[in-house]
Amino acid sequence: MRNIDTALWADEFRELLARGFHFFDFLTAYERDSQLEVIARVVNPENKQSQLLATLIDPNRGAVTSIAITYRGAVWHERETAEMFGIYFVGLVDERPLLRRSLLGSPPMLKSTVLAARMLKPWPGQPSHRKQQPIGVAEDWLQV
Amino acid sequence: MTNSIGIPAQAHGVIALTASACTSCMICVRECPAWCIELESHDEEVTEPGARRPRTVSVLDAFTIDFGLCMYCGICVDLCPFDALAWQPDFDYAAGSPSGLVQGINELESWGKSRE
Repeated sequence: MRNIDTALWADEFRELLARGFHFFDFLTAYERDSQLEVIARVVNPENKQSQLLATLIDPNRGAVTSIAITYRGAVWHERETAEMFGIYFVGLVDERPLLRRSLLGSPPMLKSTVLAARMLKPWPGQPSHRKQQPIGVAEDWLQV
Repeated sequence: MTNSIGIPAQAHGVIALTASACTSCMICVRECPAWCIELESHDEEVTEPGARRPRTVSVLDAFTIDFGLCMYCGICVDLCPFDALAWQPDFDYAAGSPSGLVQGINELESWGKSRE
């Protein structure tokens, strides 16, 4: 995996397309140590070589340039990543949400987001004799 | 090794339970990221011949996996210290309602039995 400066993200993909990486595989995001990383993979169908690129998103800006102009197939992936992680893709032509009815509220894939299911369903692993914090929930997680 | 329609024997189709191997340690329940496993047990005292005092053992009362919530990550199978959980290649257990995907001890124990 190659780490790319966020400012050079779209340029890098334009260059890869020019070098024969015609097949767009996927784009997603990953929350690494409370910082968001956008990851994308493209393939050269001629020699089956692939390139996996990543860029750390500046938490203050929360944005990266869309690569959908270079790779049309990236629109769906960027729409999904935008609604799930709250990342803004500059220049993304289609901003309609794919799965969420509204983009209000915190993005569901962020570790800080407490899912409604976690509030409604009691943790099945709660020990009977003491209180224990479930694994994978926010520190201030409280069951209502 | 594959079955009649080409599914490998090690395929992640369903999670099977061997209830006699389960010690109700709750590791699978606590580690499951989808919170789809529920377990109920009670303690019983067992006196073994020759032992100085009775031993307390956990007896499994109920064990359910909600396959509607399960994301097939296999963390429970990997973490079980007693190999009470195992993958089986069966996949044909669709249900007409979400509650039909909740499987108890009897169903979970039945997986893989026909191949033994």
